[in-house]
Amino acid sequence: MLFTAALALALQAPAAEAPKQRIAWYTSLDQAVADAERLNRPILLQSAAPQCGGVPGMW
Amino acid sequence: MIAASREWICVRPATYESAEEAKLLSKWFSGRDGDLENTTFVLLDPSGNKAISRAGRGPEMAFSNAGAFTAALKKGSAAYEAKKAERVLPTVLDFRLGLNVAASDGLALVAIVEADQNARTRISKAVAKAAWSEELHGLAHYVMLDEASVLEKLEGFEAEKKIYVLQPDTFGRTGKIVSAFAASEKKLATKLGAAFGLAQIKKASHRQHVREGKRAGISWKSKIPVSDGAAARAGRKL
Repeated sequence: MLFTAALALALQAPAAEAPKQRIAWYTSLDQAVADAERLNRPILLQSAAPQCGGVPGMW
Repeated sequence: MIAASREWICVRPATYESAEEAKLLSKWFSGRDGDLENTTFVLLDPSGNKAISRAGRGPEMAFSNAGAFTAALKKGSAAYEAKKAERVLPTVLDFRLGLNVAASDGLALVAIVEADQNARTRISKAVAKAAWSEELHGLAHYVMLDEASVLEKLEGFEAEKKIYVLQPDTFGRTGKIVSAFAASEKKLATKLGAAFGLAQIKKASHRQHVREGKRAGISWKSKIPVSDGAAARAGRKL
């Protein structure tokens, strides 16, 4: 459960209070791979659709 | 987990918003029927060509718990010697998607308006420096615009400014400009930080958000068809 909650925190919107730390996401694969190669950093890829039940504004 | 992720390039492409990206995502993971699912997770080497974890819908399909995932992130980043270089400004594909992504996260959208390539590079570098600072890390999304037509109708537009901080509405259909800055703005990071605070939005629960959206007849048309069976069925129920 903790695992799912931590992932949810990273993927979803802040609730009443914004978390102190957030993941800074690239949203373009091209940009991400270019920076990964330049910086020699591995890539954490997690795609998501910005719609829930067809309604936008929610992962 | 979030601290460990700082040593990685974290990328969250919007599923079904680019045919090219969908093809790449499908290469790593697809559902039983071979179609692209709503979410895809995998850890990759720095070339982006080699998977260094099992792929799935999410990390729970590759790791038994959060501790195992965090340990894998630490071990994975230690396996590659980091090179010193500046990160680029991470930008969303277009303004429409930018508003939706920002709304989904409850965060600000920063729109940079500049058609001239050299000037755009200069502004982008200045904003990137702020965006990757400890204080502003992950607190906004960014989009580049050639011209300001999508901003002109919004409250708070000032034609001579180049950097606009928008507060999206909760469904990401429109936004309100909370601050606007010149290309050569002094103390940009501090000013952006203050604007990001004003632009954050409080999100309702998933259930409430979807219920209100459906009641108001709000829907999202993705660039390519939604192929995840469950997600597509949910959308058709509108």
